[in-house]
Amino acid sequence: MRNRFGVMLAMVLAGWVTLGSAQEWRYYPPLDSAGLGGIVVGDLDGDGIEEAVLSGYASSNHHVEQVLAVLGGEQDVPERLRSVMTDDALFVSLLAGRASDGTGFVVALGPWGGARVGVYSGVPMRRVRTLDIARNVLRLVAMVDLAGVPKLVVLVGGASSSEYLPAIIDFTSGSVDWIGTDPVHDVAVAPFGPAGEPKLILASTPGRILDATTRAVEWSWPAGFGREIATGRFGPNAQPGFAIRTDRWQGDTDARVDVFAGQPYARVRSFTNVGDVRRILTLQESGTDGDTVAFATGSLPAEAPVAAELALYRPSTGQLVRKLPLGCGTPVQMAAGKIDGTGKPRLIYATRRINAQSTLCVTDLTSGTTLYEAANEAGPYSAIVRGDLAGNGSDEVVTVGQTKGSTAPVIRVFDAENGKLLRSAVAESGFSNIPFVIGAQLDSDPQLEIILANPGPIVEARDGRTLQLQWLATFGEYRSVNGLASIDANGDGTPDVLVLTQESRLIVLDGRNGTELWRSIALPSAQSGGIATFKLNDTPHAAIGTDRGIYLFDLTNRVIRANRSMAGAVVALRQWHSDIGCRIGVGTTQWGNQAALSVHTCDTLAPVAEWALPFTPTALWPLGASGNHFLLADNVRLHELRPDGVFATWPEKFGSGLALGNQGDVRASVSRTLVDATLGSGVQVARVQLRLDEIFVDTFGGDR
Amino acid sequence: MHTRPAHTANTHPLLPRRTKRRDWVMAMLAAFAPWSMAAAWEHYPMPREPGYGGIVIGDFDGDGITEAVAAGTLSGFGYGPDLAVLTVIGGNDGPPRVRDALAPGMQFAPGGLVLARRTGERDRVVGAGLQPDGSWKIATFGGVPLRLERLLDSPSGYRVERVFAVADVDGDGEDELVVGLVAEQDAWPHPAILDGSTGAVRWLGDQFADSVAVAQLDADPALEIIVSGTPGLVIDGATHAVEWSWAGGFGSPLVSGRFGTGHAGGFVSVPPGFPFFMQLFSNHPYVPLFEIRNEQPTYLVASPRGDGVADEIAAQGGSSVRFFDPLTGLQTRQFLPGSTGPFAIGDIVRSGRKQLIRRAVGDPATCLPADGSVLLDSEYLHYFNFSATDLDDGDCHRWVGKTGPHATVVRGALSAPGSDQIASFSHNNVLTIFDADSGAPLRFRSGIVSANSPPNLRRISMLVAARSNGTRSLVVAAEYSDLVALDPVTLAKRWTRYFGAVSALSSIDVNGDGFDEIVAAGPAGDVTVINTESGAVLGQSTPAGSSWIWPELVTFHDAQGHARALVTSEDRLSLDVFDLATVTRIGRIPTGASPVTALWRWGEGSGCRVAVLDAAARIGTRDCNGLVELDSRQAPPGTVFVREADATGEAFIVATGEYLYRVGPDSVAMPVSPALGSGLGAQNAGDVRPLSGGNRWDATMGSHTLVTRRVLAPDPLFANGFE
Repeated sequence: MRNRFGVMLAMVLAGWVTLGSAQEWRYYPPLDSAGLGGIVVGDLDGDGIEEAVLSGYASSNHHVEQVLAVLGGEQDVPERLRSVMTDDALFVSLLAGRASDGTGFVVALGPWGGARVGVYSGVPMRRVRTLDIARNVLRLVAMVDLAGVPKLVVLVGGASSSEYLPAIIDFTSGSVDWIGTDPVHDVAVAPFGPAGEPKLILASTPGRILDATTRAVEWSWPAGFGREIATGRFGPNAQPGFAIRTDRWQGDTDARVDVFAGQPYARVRSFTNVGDVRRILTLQESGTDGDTVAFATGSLPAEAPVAAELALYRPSTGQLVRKLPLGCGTPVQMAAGKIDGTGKPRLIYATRRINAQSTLCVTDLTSGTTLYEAANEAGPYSAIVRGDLAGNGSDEVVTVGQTKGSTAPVIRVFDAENGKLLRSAVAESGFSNIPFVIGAQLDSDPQLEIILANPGPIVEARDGRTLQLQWLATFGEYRSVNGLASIDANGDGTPDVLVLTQESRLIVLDGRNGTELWRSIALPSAQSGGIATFKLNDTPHAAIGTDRGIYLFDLTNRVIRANRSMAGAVVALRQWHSDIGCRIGVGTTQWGNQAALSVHTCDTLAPVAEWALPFTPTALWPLGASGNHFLLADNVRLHELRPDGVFATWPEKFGSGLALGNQGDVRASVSRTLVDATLGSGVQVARVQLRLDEIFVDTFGGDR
Repeated sequence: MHTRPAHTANTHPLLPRRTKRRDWVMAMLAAFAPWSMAAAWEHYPMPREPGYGGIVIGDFDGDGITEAVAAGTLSGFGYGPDLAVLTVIGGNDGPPRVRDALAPGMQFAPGGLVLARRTGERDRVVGAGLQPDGSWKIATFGGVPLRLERLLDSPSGYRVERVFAVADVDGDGEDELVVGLVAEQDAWPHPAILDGSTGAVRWLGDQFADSVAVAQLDADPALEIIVSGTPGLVIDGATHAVEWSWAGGFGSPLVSGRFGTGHAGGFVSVPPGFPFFMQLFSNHPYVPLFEIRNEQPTYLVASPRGDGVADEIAAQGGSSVRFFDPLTGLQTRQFLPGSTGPFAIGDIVRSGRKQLIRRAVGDPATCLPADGSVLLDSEYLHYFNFSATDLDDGDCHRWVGKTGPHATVVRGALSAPGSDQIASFSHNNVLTIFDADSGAPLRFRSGIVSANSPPNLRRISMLVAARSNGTRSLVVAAEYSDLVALDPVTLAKRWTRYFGAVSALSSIDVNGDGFDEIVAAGPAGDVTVINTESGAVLGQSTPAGSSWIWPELVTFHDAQGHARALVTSEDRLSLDVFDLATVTRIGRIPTGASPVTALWRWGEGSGCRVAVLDAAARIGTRDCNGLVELDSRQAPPGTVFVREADATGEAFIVATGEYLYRVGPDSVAMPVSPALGSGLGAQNAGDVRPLSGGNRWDATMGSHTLVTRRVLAPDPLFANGFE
């Protein structure tokens, strides 16, 4: 039996693959807590189709960072995450705006604390502006144009930590134009003036309406405005108005929604006994009777999706227009927009369950059909295999993300050419640590097998085409996994599977059925390591790394042939055949030591070259066979170590956890000027083409 | 019971010149052996924390039979320096017993003793000892009785804090010392090889190592030095080249043995920072063989199983000692519960089987006192056990570790009128009753007085008080504890009274009823008279002052029959006289310029005398009637114990250092005993009775290392020989 995958990889590393047909693509996996920090809608790329922008979390091996994501469809492409970006920021509040040229943008709070906001636009989204504000902002509310000058309506902190005050910030200078004196629950802006002059609606007791320019109180409502304000145009004349949601215990014993409209202002409708209203929004409906008010009802939070629904009422008549089921549960955040090529309105909403599971969903507002649903996952998605998995002559890419809690991770298979998701399956088990995945030919059919190792260790082999489970191996006691590899260790012609456990114990499984063939003694180690398999004098060997050194196992005789201490913990280890023989590259941490890349002979592990690294590598790949040219990942970015010893850094930040566990697929052209890399991080799986002459030394090119 | 010819202990280990002289003299005197009488015996208590400083098994007296040497401590637990007490345990013709004890005046690191063995010589014990002056020296002990044979200085600029092995590591026929060498101003040891004769540094390793083992792991004559650390190293003992390194590291403990097939060498280590694994490594070519999981021992021993059979791995960790076959990793015998600390395995009773020798916590109840005594009650004793357990039949003997000095002894008719027994109270609250004639320990109990756990009592007083029914009570008091009266037969408590603290005890018939009352001096110089039967307070004086002065006390009847007490004053330069009937201070007698350190009274009526010992070792004799000083003489400096040599008070028996002397009226001090150990007669405790015929005394004394009854007789060769 032939290990086509292994042979192919060796060829790639030797630089025999041309990259002419390779494409770039990115896949953004489901985020953790997607949308829970806010959802806004706007046309960020100017294509006439709106996008939803939402905040969420991306995880990379227990490190969590907040991200800003763009969700939307395109012509003939259904909703998906189209962009996920990090900005060292906490995107705790969002608002959507539109520039004078019509370009949509999003203002996000908290990139660097509450006194600074970032302005983001485009797909992929980029930060286009940063605005320092003279006062800590707690929540962004709306953009408002006052006499041709753009302003931000925000909430700032009051006398106590739970007190919010309305404020107006100059969007040009960041100066504070005005801060209200009375605490509010919420604030909204609506063009109530005769000529559409903006007014501020303050949710407080009494409820008040202020002129946005003069801040003069124009009207008040003694009973007060409740918790949430949604503005709209109601009735046959589409009069500007607003709906107020009052919480269940805030006013009456049940939640209520009051609708105000007209000049002079008047409460035109009260909705009571309409259920446990959690969020409201106004929807522009076809016809001449103005907007509807949509009530999202349901209980919060719950272990499982609860029976939640969206009820659309027409304020002018008080009639229920329709009810839509909300299959993902009760919204914590929601927004509406035409975010795909159909031009139809969609409800984008985020739910949360008591077990911290969250779901992001898109529902057709006409039929109630769920168009997009993504339960949270946790990255990084660094476990990647690329190869002819289905045995049909086409490259595919497999990726597996780290799970959150004890949720089993999702195995996804993409078309390597375009990143199209082809099929997926849920793994047998997983637990809060990065999984490892490899491909190998373990049987007689043409498709490769995908071997997945999760903490446990739990090792499963699946058919690369059907993703059907071939065998499953579990072990008696819990250990996480530090590495996974394959080689025919017992000489039966079938690659066997090697698992490096948390305690740096090498466990060899029969590739045919997962039966344990042999296990080594433990080699003291923490959460670090790496494994590479190769043949020396036709004998299968494995080199493994631990937090103290590297070891060479003779797999036939089951003995350790050599070992060598390392100054730092080994975090990446890779073998290749250089111009002068078998070599092993070792990346070590900088904890207490200088991070380093060293090259060793395969037979004695003797060091032959070493470079100090300015970062701790998560992965390394030799470029060509010279042994002095490498691509390295530093957890976020890629770096080239050139033969002259110069480091060059690719400017793009791929997200934390990039290639963690020394995983990913990197193929260099013969000239080594073009690298075809398929890599995963906490936020994305990406296939990128790196032209090495575009990598700028010292990040000269800045962020991308 | 064990009786040892007393002359064999008559050496001073720190005085080699004198030692030789005394050896010769003692050999000569052995012909008439004045102190080798029928009623002479020595009992060596197992010291506190027995085995803490290490347990080594070897043939230290060269008789072809192995003994164990265990290092315990004098006091421990923060009460003064943890100076070591080395005990020799063996049983050539029966159950194991403590055959000897030596307090060499130094401290050892935990498990710090190693065996030094050379063909054709008796075995020796070697350890790095912390000296009272703060220096570290390499101490070599040998023989039974155990003697300090050599003190080797640490190399200049370094201190040897641990000796890992004594062996011919370079194959040149001479032994080297494999040590942990700490540079001045440094804190961690480097492995080093020192010249066995001169202590010169032969090799000094680069990396720190807290554990080092020595083994023959290859074909060349040099031994290999296995050094813990990350990486772990195997160093050739001759070339000092690194033969092998192991990136995973060798941790501590680290032990070498014949662990391989065909008796090949190997070693076992617990990987550093990696719990619950023991890993076994073979000899050259070095490879890790396998691991024993869920084992994280704190001490490891290679236990030989005979020619051609691989040594067992004995691992002590958690709450048991466990045994494994190094070739399979499988358990070889039943786990032995208990134990904390170093342990050793060998045959110390000439049984042909092996015993596990250890400090043992939680030994099974079937493990009986090794000395044949009866345990009547116990409290805290599990802190101090030491045991020898036969590995084949499980037969177990154990000792209770006792904190010295064991000077608090009283002798009397403790079991019945006319009986003669000795009570010894040790500082960890253990009371032992011996037969006065044979020295056999009869019974013991702990938890006599209230004390925090684990106790280490100071300032102990004990007396025998006559009861109205003719029986006796043992009355015991300890600093900061209660006053307890015990039935000396059952050792049951008759009554307990708490007075805050008692400094000194005496007994005297205060009220003329024919039976003794107990008189206690409080720490502030106050006096309390207590009913012997009930413990009721009959009278109490007001304290002499507010400060605690821990006074000395004697009682007597004056010529008029009045019960009096003499109590040292606050500055100890006077004696306060108390009338015990009224418990009032009736006078104060100045004693001199030097503070009084001990009082002793003997005689009755007109023959009543009080000896006053001061810090300058001057002994003044006073008549109880008038308390006028009749005469005085000079005792050797450092004297802590004084008794009348005869009724006239012209001469005294004193304890100074490790020796007893007779001090005559001319102040000439003549040794009347061999060295009996430090702490001899501490707190002026002991029992000395003149024997008929003069110039001989029947003494029951205790020290840090022993309790002994012996006949004292002067050694004229050493007149004025005290130092």
